Amino acid sequence: MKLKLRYWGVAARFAGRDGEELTLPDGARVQDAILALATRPGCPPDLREELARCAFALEDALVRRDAALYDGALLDVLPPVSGG
Amino acid sequence: MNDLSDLSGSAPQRHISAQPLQLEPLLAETERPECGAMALFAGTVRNHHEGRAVTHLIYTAHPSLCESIIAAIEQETVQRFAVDSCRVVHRIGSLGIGEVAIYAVVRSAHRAEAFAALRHAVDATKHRAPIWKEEFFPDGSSQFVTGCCLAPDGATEPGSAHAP
Repeated sequence: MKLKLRYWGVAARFAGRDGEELTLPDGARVQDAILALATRPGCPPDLREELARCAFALEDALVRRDAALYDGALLDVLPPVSGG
Repeated sequence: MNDLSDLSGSAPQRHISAQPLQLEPLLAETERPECGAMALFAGTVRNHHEGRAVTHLIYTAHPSLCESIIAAIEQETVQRFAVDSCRVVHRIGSLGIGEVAIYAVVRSAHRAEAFAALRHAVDATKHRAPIWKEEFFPDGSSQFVTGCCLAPDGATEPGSAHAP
């Protein structure tokens, strides 16, 4: 399956971009996307560390790391928030 | 940037604004004849953080998620504290020192529940709305302020993002 990632806040800074596409095996879950990002060659160490603190959203809803992904999914990568 | 490009062409935003926040419409919208109390919080941009001078801020937000989460906070505040109305609006984009970053308004019959509800609405927005603050310093550098983890299953240990 192919999904689109969107990076927000400091995650975008560490990734050096606002988003990217990621290809994963069918049946992949959010935690598999995190694993793929964190273990691929060239992953910035800051991003790898930040992913541990991030929340994830699919279709404008926060999801757990065991949530199922699907082809065409838009996965938001949301670092800790600091509004107000 | 994700935040601004997503705003164009989307539905009107009730809870985030790239323009300077307007207080009068919030007061008019929440006015109720049965209310004897109106509690207001305004969060403004300060010129320092942890001992460093700050020149300005940039707030970014996930627009659609922010809208639904702040709407839920308003509703929950009204229900939990039995107040008559609650509105929260947060600014995004570049803000200078002294500009208003957030307005929260609560109206109720009496002041005690208005104060308590207001505090809840502001704290919940800070902790749960997908908004990020980037502070800029006199040397031109910037950093994102460390904040609250939104993950419903909590953060994993630092450095163990790859753990199953």
